[in-house]
This record gives sequence, structure tokens and C-alpha cells, in this order.
Amino acid sequence: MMEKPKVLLIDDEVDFTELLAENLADSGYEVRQVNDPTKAVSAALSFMPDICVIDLVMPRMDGGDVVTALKGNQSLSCIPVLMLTALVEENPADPGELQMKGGLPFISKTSDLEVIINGIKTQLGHR
Amino acid sequence: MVNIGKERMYSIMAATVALLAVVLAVARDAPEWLRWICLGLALLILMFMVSTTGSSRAELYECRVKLRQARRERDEIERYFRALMDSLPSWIYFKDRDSKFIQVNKALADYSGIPAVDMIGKSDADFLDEESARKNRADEILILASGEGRERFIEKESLPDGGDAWVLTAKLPLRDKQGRIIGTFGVSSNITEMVQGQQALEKERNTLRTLLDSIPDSIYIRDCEGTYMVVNRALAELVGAADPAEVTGKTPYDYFPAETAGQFMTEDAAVMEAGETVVNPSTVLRNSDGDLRHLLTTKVPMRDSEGKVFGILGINRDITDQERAREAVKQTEHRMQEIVDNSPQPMYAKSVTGHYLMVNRRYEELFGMKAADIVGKTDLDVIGDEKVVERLLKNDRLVLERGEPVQFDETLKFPDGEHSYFSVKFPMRDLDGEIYAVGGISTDITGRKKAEQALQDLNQELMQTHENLTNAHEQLIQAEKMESVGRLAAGVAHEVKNPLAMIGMGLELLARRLPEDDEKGKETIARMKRGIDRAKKIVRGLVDYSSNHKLEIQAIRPERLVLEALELVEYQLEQADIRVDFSADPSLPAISVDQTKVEQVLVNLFINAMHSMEGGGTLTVRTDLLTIENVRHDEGSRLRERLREGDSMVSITVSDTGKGIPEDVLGKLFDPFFTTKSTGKGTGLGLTVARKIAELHGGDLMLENQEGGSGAVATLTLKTG
Repeated sequence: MMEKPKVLLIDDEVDFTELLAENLADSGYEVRQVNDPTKAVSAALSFMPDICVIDLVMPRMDGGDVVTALKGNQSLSCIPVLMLTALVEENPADPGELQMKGGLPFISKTSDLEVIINGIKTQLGHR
Repeated sequence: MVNIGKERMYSIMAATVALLAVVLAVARDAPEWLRWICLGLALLILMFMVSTTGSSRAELYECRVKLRQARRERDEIERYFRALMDSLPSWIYFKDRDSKFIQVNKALADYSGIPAVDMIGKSDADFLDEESARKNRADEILILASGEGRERFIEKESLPDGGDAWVLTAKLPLRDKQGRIIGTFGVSSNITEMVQGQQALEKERNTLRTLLDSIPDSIYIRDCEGTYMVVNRALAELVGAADPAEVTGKTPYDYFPAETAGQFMTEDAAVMEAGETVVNPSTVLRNSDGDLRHLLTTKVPMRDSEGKVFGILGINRDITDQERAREAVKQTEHRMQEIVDNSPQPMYAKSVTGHYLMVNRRYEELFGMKAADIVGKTDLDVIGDEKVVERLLKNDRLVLERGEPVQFDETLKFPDGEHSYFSVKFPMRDLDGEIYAVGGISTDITGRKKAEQALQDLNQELMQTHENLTNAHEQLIQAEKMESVGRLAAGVAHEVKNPLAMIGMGLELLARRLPEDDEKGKETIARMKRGIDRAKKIVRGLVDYSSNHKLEIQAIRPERLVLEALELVEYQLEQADIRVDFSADPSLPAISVDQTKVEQVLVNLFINAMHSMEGGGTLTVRTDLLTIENVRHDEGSRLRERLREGDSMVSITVSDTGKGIPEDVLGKLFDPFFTTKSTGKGTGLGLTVARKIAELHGGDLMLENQEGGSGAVATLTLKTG
């Protein structure tokens, strides 16, 4: 049996991350969540996730800064990220498509769970 | 009295005197001388008587012869008298002093109806009515008293049969040989017929006079010298005399200027010379009031019973009113003709048989024919085209049938093409109301029709333009709506999608945890997912709207722009206990901007400032004019590149009294999705979009902290003009 992929959810929306975490867990992922972006780096360091799913719009530190912080840490720099934000729209033609903005893959927060999981899988494949 | 003769009387007287002388001679008492004288005297007388008696015998015989002759003569005279009395038609009577008839003639007796013998000894009272009798008696008493008769007077007598009679009467005193008045006598002639004839004559004369005076023509008879013999009232009025009688005996020189009068006399002379009537229809002269009168004068030579011309009869008929009326009619006709001829519309009248009665000048011009040549002809002669003529005649017939004006659209062909006419055709009636012609006035509406078409096209175009405008307006409204929605969209989309994502995740979870056989639960979750999809679509729609970046440029004064933007956030600022300090600079030039978008920028800046001043503060807004030299800009701005020498700009600075911008975020402020605000407060796009809008206007937006104080300053620069 393969080891469950580890997903770190970084999002200030507590309710959303909890439910996503639950779903991802049901889908065979080991999930940890962090709702304060400033604590993202330390959480990542302790959890060492296979992928970080990061919200963009967060107080004090936005998703971009989190990515910068993660990439800035040598131990974490190789961990793939998936930007999950309500600021981007789903592509109606291909809801599962990852939208690349500033070199980062974006996926709409309102996408179906399946789409999000596919995104995670895609990014995990890049590892 | 017995007639004894003069001689005998003298003889007797002489004998008597001789006897007296003898008596005196023998008287006793007589003196001697007297006796002798008387005796001598008696002797003388006797001698004289003896001498005369001898001669008187012969005389006596002679006297008897004479007497017999005288008696014969007397009888003859009496016979004459009687014959006269019996045969004279006049009434003759003799009355004594008591007015009793002594003698009446036959005529009177016949008139009275009483035999003459029966009338003798009677008076008027026995035959006449009381009043007449008294009158006659009074007359007679007067004559008896005065000795003077009343000769030749006319009086009215009542006839016994009830009628009246006019009598010419002479009443005279009757005298005896000694000249004493012993009665009266009278002669009366019945002149009733004569009087009646005279009266009839007078009446006729008056009638004629009245007739003459009633005639409005002035009538006169002038003799060879020009003296008026007869004139009527009209002539008297013409010359200004009060009465026709006044004019009689005068000449034209008394009433007219010498020249005019002289002319009359010349004319009179000519008429008398020629002996023929002359009529002059155009005599003009001034009447006594100085008015010019038109006269129709007729002069007829007057002849006496021997056929010799003795003057002229003149009749002047005053035809001034007729002349004036004729002149007025002529004027009116002329005027009407002028109007008709100057009408730009062809006008015409056609008889009921279709023959032209008149056409106006325009009609002549239209067909290149003279009216004189058109009158009497038909449409077929003038217009020619059978089909066209048939249509025209059909219209004419309709007018005749209806007997009232009818309007038609008619078409005629001319060398320059077809012409359309708007024709009003109407029946023309004579004074008895009988229709005798069709009149028509046609207006060329070819140009009008073209204009109408052009107008219609224009109208169509206008309607199209209007529709376009309406559409544009609607689009504007739509754009405005979209702009408003766009302003909200970015924020709303983010804020709505987060809970939607959360609910979606929840549903995924619930779906997974649902028992396999819970169909109802699955159905419910499917519905909820559809609900989320719907909400997502709406949000996406909102965001799509916000992506419209077209600018609607218009000139606006900076202070107004600021004031209107402030109005949009007035309530929020007040709620946040923030005071606004804005002093407008009215001298600033207008700027050309998309007001809505720039307002969006300002609102964004105001809201940012507001959020940075928790617990209240002061929002200060200033507007300034900038030139290229004093433009301040940060390194990222490309403003300097866009500005040219001489360009001017307006800056709007918004400063707050908040915490200021941390140094480490100053460089990221305009990055997309960067926000320092807690969830639900900002989108991270506000300043990004704001700067984008400023750049779209050829301006710039920059943010910095206040020098030497708290709070941030945002400076929006925009081009003028």
C-alpha cells in the first residue's frame, strides 16, 4: 500500500479548509491545515507535505508571499504548490484546467472536489 | 203815368198862368199897378197861345204818326225782349224792392220747374232753401241800399236734383225813368261745364306738373334766346334753385359758368338749326353743390303750330350712379382678373359641355396658348392625350353630378415630365342657381410630392437615428449599470465565492457520508449543488461585466468630480466618524475623463483612507495644477514619458490621518490581489484597477506616507483639456 500523499492547506477560511481537509482525507490524502498564513512555513516544516494548497487572499500575508516564503526555505522549495482562490474563474470549457498566472498554477476555489483533486494529482505528478 | 206831351203841357200851363193873371186883375184888393200888369200879362199869353195853336194842329197830326210808329217800334222791341227772355239760356229775373219777382225768363222758370206766371209776385224763399234765399235777399238789400250791383261773380248753386251747379251771375239795381231804384234784376249763366272743364284742365295741368317734377331727369324748355320757359324740379335742383318757378325766365348764364352756358347755347342752336333730336351720352358738368355729374342729355327741337322751331326741349338724365357702378364693376372685374392672372396656379372654367369659358395667365403659359385661342375649345383640343383627358373629364362629371366642390389628384404630361396637380374643382352656378360650368384651380404638387418623399426618407432616417440614439442611450444605461456592477463585481465575486466553495466542500463531504440507499439525501445534495452552480454563474457574470475598460470621456471640473465622488461615500465616512476637509480651487481648468471610472478611483482611495483610520480621523482632499517641471512621480511611473513640454495636469491628493503604509508593503500596493485588509474588507484589486484607470487617462496614481507625520497620501494626476 502506497503511503498517503500529504497535503498542507493554507487558507484563512477555517470552515472551508476543514471541509476540504475532510474530503481530501476521505479521498485518501493525509491533510493538515493552517489558517494563519504567517504560520505556513513552520507548519510545512513540521509536516513536510507533498503539496501545498494555498489561498491567495489572506490577511497580513497573501498567497504570493506564502509561496515566496516557502520557496525561500531550502527544505520546502521543492514542494509543489497549487493556488486555490476565489479570485480566478473556472474555465467553463475545461473546468479541470490549471490556469498558470505568474508561473503558478491556479484553480478556482469553487471548483468541484474532483477538479481540485485532479489538480493536486497533476501537481504531485510534477514532483 | 199818362204821357200828355210837352207842347200840350206848355199850353195848359200857359192857359193856367193867363187865367191866374185875369183873376189877379179883377181882384178888389189888388193895387192898380198890379191890375194893369196882370191884365197885360194875360193879354200877352193869349196872343202867344193864339199864335201857337194854329201851328200845333199840323204838328198834332205829325205827332200821331210818330206815336203810331213809336208804338210799333215799342212792340217790336218788346217782342225782341220777349224772344230774348224766352230763348236766352241764362236765367234772368227782375225783382221789386221786396225781392218779389216782377219778371222771370223761361230758362229760370224751367230751371225752377215753375211756370213763369206762377213765380211773379213770389220771392226766392218760396222756391229755394232757406240759406240761399237769405243770401240772395242780403245781396239784394245791399244793392238796393248802395245802388251798386255785383257784376260777374261766380257762385255755386245747389241743383234741385241734388247736384251742384256753378253760375256766373250779375246782380244790378233796377231803376225807373227818373233813375230811382225800384228793384233789382239779375242774369245768371250756368257755367258748370265750363268750370268743370277748367277744373279738369287744371287738374291735368297739376298732374302733368307733378309728373314733370317727379321725374328724376331734369327737363326744361328753352326758347331761341336760351330763356327757360318750363323747368321741372329736378332741373331746379340741378341748378340750385329753390323752386322751378324761380328758374323760369332765367337763362343758363344765370346758373352755369359762362363757358358752359355758352356751350349749351351753341348746342341748342345746332339742334334748332338741324331740327333734329340730339342725344349726348357723355355730358359732364358740376351741379350746384360742386359735384361732378355724368348726364345723358337729349335735346329735341320744339315747334309751334306752324312747324316753326321756337326752342328746344331738353332732358338730362343723371347717370352718375350708373357710371360709378359701371366703373366699380369694371374695377372689380379688373381686380379679379389681376388676382386670377397672377395666381401661380392655373385656373379655368369649362362649360357643362366641356368647352373652355376662361383660363388665367398661368394656364396660358402652361399650354403656350392664348386664352382667346383656348376659349371655346375642349380638353382634347388643348391637352390632347386621350387617356389624360378622359380622366380629367371623369372628374369634371363627378363635380357636375355632386354639385359641390371636389378635390382631385391629377397628372398631366409635359415635355419636362409628368406633373402632379392637386385640383379643386367646383360647380359654377348662374344667378338662378343653375350649374353652367365647372371651375378649377390646380396646384402643381410635383415638387411637394418630391419634398414629401424626401421628408419621408428624412423621417425614416430620423426614426432610425432616434432608434440608434435610444439604443445608444440604453447601451449607456447598460454601460453605467455594468460599470456599477463592475465596481462591485471584483469584491463581491471573491466574497461570495468563498462561502460557496465552503458549502460545495460541505456537500461533497455529506455526499460521501450518505448511505448508499439514501436516494432522497442524494437528490437533495444534487439540488444543492445545482444551486451552488447557479450562484457561481451569477458571480462569473458579474466579473465579466467588470472587465469592460472602455472610457467615456467628458470634460468636467476637478472640484465637481471630487465632490461627486465624496457624495458616494459620504454616509460611510460619517459612520466611520471621519471629517472631510476639501477646499476646491475653482480656477482649475476642466479635465477630460471618464467620470465614472475616475470616481471609482477616488472612491477606492477614500475607502482605503477610511479603513486606515479606525476610530475616526480627517480625510483631506486637495486639487492643484501641475506642470511637467513639478510633477512628482515614483520610479515605476511612466508619467514623465507621457508628458510633453507645456502640458499641464491636475493633481488630486487624498491624505488621511491613519497609521500610514508600512514601508515593506509600499512597493506591493499596486500588485494584483495584494491586500492588507482582513477577509471581507478588500479584494486586492482596488489599487491595481485604480492605477490602471489613471494610466488609461494618460495620468498616474501614486501612494506614499506623509512626510514627517502619520497617514498616507494618494496622488492622482490627470491631464487637463
